[in-house]
Amino acid sequence: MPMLTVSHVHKSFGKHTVLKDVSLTVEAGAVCCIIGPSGSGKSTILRCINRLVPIDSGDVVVDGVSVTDPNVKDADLRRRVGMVFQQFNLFPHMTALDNVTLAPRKVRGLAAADAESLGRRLLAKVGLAEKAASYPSQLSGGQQQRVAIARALAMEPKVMLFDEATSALDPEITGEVLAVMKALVAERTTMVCVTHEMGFAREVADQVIFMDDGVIVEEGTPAALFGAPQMERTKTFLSKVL
Amino acid sequence: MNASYASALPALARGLVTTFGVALAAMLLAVAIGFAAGIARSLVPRAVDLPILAAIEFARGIPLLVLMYFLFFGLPQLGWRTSSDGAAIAALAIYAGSLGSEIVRGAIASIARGQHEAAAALGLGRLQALRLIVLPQALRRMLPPFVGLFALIVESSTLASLIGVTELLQSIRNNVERDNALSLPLYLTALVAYFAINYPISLASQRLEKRLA
Amino acid sequence: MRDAAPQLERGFLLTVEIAVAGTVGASLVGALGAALRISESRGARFAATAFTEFFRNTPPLVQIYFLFFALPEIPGIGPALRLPSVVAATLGLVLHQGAINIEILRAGLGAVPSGQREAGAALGLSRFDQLRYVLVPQAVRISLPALGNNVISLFKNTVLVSSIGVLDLFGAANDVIAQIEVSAELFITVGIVYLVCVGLLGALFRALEKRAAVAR
Repeated sequence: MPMLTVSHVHKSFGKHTVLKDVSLTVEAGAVCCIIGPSGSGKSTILRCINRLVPIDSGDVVVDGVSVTDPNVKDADLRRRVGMVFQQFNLFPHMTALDNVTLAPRKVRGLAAADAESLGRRLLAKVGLAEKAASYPSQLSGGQQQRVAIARALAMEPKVMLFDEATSALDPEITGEVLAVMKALVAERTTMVCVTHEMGFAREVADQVIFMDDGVIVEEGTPAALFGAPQMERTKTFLSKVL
Repeated sequence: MNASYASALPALARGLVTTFGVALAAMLLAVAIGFAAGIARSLVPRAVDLPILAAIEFARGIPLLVLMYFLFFGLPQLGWRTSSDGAAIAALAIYAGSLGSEIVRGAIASIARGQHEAAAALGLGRLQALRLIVLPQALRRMLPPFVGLFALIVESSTLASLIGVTELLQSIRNNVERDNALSLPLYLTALVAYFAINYPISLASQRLEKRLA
Repeated sequence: MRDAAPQLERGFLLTVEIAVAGTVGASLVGALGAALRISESRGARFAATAFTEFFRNTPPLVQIYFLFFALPEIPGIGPALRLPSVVAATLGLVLHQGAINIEILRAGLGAVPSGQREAGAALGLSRFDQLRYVLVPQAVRISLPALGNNVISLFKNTVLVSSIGVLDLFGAANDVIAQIEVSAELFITVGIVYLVCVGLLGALFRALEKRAAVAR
């Protein structure tokens, strides 16, 4: 069974339809990259997966759990899905370590000592062991985003969602964050990445999805989509960004 | 009881007029003081700024009632006679003026450096730059807080009753003294009246803030 | 004026007590009211908003008079509501400055970037935990200057209690003046005491703001 199934999802905000009949499947351990112009609904579909945005119709099933099932609590769903944001959204009044250990303690119920060792291990994994006691304001953008990744990983999710994780970073710093993401790929983490980094998508993605104006226009392996795009809209978009 | 409540109303109306009179007079003075001090603080060097800052901190730090009492009771001791209305207006003006100067100074400071720099690059003097470029933009930002300041003055005008000014609150107290049974309806009337005045002003200030900021 | 010293000291102590009790009360009102204003219940939100707008837009002096003079005149339950002057006065300050606190905290919560709530929710934190660990700590840090100003306002407004006969520092000073004629000097002295206290409170809050800024 696929790790993530999105079936015929519709979403409107008032009169504006943001997602029109969107369906996609991601197998366990696979990496799915979503590309497309701004306003195409890419960020919205990500937020539908962890119920930050409720869907109007259709369904999303993650790790066997349905987003539309009223018996499924938010906390249960979000334990399975980790999210990394474009603006990092680290909690500025907490140290890096506290940022990472907050949810394990409060949502997973870990004891403080266990949460701390987990937190330190994850910070070391993203290369920031020595910054555990630093506040976000004392860290560079790349460092903050890596802490944000550690924070999401601390919940030991089945699926990791990346919403343009490197878009807010200076070009020379995107490398350090992409390196961490590639390490996760190597560990067979199921990932859905909304990204502008075509090089990253070409290198690590198992499937690339091109979205425009709320629909999935084209989908395929990186070689197929980048090398031989079928649809006009895909060709136009790629010619602008590549 | 209704008859005596109704008979109190003319006095309340007169009190309300006095409240507005005092508040408006104080507001005009406060705006004048605020602009003078705020602009001065934006232009002058540190050494001259310090005494102005000290005066402002004094006016903001001292309880308004103490200031009013000092002006009304204390000044005559030093040979200076004032009417209760005059002392109330003066105290309100000094207090609100100090707040006004911070509004003015803050609005001027909030105009981006780039504006000052562009003006300087064009060869405009500091005063010219202020008058032609900065102030016109800053004035829009000052409006909402100044509207809010007027509400504060109206609210503070109640203190004038304690030095004998027959504004709205004092009129209410006078009538309660005549007939204690009127205590509840009259004080309720007072609360409602001040709310009816200040709530719209507060709303207006918030709306202006949204539209102008 | 030397002989008046003990009276003035007692007055000052009472001023401090009222200020402390008032600040604690106003903080509780502020916290509770702000929580209600972002509650999911429309009724709670409406009640909290009505309370806030009414008590912050009416003069504290009128509120004090109402609590002291008008409450006992309510038909039926009036006599049970006969409050001692100190209580009525402090309560008036708590309600007024508390309502102002509610507004300050509401604005502070609104100023926390929306991404913070998203991040907390994405981690699976309950709405209560989101407020407690992510949103409120940041809202308080953002609101610190305004909260500090409100504490100073409350301290200055303690002079209003003298209007219903409470012998705080100002009330005691007036009492002394009624007995001995030392107006100007006495007012200046009392004024200086208030200025010094306000100055100390101001310095305290600026220090708090610096500490909060580091952790931001």
